[in-house]
Amino acid sequence: MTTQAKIVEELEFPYCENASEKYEKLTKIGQGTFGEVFKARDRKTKRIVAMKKVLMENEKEGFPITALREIRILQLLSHENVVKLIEICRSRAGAYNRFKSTFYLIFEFCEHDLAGLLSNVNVKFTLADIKRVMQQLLNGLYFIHHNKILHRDMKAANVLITKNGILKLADFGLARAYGGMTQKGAQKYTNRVVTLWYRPPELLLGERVYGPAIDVWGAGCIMAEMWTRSPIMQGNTEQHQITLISHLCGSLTPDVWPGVEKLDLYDKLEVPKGQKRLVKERLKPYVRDQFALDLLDKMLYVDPSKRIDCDTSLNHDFFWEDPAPSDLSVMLSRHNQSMFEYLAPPRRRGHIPQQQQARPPTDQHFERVF
Amino acid sequence: MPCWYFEKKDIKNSPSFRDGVDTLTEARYRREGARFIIDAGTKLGLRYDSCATGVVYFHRFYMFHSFKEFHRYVTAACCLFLAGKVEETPKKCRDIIKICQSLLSPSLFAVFGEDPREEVMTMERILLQTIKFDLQIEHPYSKVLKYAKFVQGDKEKIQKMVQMAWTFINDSMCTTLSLQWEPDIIATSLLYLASRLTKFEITDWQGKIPGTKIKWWDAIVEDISMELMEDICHQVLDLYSPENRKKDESPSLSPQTPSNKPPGGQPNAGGTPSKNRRAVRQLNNFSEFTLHLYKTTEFLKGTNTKAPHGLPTFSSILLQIDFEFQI
Repeated sequence: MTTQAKIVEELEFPYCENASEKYEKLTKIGQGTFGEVFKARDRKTKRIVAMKKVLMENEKEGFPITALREIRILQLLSHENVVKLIEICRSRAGAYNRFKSTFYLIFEFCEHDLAGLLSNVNVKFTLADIKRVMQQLLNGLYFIHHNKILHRDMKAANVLITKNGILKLADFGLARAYGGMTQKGAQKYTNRVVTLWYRPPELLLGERVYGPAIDVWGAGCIMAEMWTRSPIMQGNTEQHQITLISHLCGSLTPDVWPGVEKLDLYDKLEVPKGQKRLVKERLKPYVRDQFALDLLDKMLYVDPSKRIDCDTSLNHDFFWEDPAPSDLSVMLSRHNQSMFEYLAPPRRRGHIPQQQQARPPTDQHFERVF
Repeated sequence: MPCWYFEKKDIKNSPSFRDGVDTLTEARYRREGARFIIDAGTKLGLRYDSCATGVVYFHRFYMFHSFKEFHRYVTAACCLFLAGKVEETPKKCRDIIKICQSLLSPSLFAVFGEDPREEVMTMERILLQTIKFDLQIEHPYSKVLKYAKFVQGDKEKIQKMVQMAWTFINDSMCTTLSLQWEPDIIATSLLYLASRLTKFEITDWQGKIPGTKIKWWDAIVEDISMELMEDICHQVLDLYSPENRKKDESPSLSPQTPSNKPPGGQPNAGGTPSKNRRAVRQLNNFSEFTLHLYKTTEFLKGTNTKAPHGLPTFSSILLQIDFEFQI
């Protein structure tokens, strides 16, 4: 045992409280990018919080860089539509954990996530409700983009909603700053991000210099899901996802997307030819509102440079024509149970873990829209 | 939220001091730790901001723990490891340890114990908790580049002045200035020092109202006093005093390499000047300041530029300039 390990046990940290002394774990409510999430209660104030455990068992390089990013980014971002990080707690280091304390990120608690709400047939969203959800979602996204941060993991399960109807973007485990320049030019990032079903075509084709448009694609997928109630493009592999996108958005050709042919994987993947763009046509049976269809169409542009941005989206007629966005708390007050994707029936479970090769789901039934 | 700025008396009455480490020794440990981070970081190819973030973690850490309890080189290695990850320039722990081993004598490297990697990992947990996961650090570097854009005049002279200010910021990392003042105040003060030493008087800047009597620094930061700026300059100049130079052990044999130069790219814009702590500090009158400058330059002129560890950047720059002082 090192001398330090001996000291660690006795150290006091005024700024990092002991998690189990301060909070009482209630139930497991989810699985984040790097650890489990629990609902917990502050023993003193009785405030309900969400505790996200930082998994470190398999970390060769110490405290995970993804957790560091999430912490740094959330400390930087303070907005009504971004989940609030309250503090970071630890477990006591001792012989029982080989002097390795576990860390927990403590978040404000939100009663529902959007995936959980959408998978419950009793939860009905009116057009006005959907407007309010999307308005808040784009508001949060606009704010993080304005702060030069990309979320990189937009999906319904990462959109939290409080019982008061306030939407919060969550899980910044894959988020990072963008717009940096290196000596060699624009900063390159990994394209192994975003859950497959919400992954935009530029990432699937290997683009490594990308921007806020990748999150807007995800927001578009989520918006469509507000009506379809299931993810609209549930690919099993990257190839399958590209095929599904082509079937909905038309062939990915240099005509509609100049430069697409130069992307790394354009020649390596089979990119369907001769497909017509059918976004509006195929969503019409679900989405009857013309303004909604128009906005969806613009969010699902395949060429990221032509895809609508958050600011322009928020000015779209969809949000300004009747009916006006509602107060979600009215609809939510009809439900007194927390709804999380993690706790929902298996119909919607089995989403593809990030940064892993997508595996065809074998034992689950998925309700496919397209 | 903890406040990461301290009064001088708090810095003096540090955990190490209370643990029986005298002030001069603590100052030396801080210098050695900071230089070690910069040297190791530079060798690993890390940018100045990653190194600087590591140094700030290091200084903050020892406001809560004693140098007797945690060895400065282990802490330094750990600060560099964490800063690399935070600044998106991660380096493998193994590589950091390798560099540490190459920079330290075997007897000093022994402080890393039998399993150096495990030692750094354990240390990382302690470090993170101590600094309360306050990972985001702003540095005077980007500020000085921002201010340089705003100064108007002879391009070459400005360039020279900024380069010198940059060097002072490098060296200020060895002081506790980052524990005392916000980066914009340090940057302004060291730009002032550089402007004095390069004899480039800043009289014109972007957005200057014609006929105004305000000084350039008033246009940059609110309520910054001459006394405060000079106090900050003194703290950097003290590094070059003969006493300080003799005492330091040289863990690394190479002097600071000139790779720590300002980048050609865009400085980071943004960041509003903070408004707290603008108190007027202990005064050092002007003539004393001039005398200090004079003594420092005289001293440096009289020494070989290949002086011991850490300082040649300053002295060589000083000697490049035809430096005359009138007192």
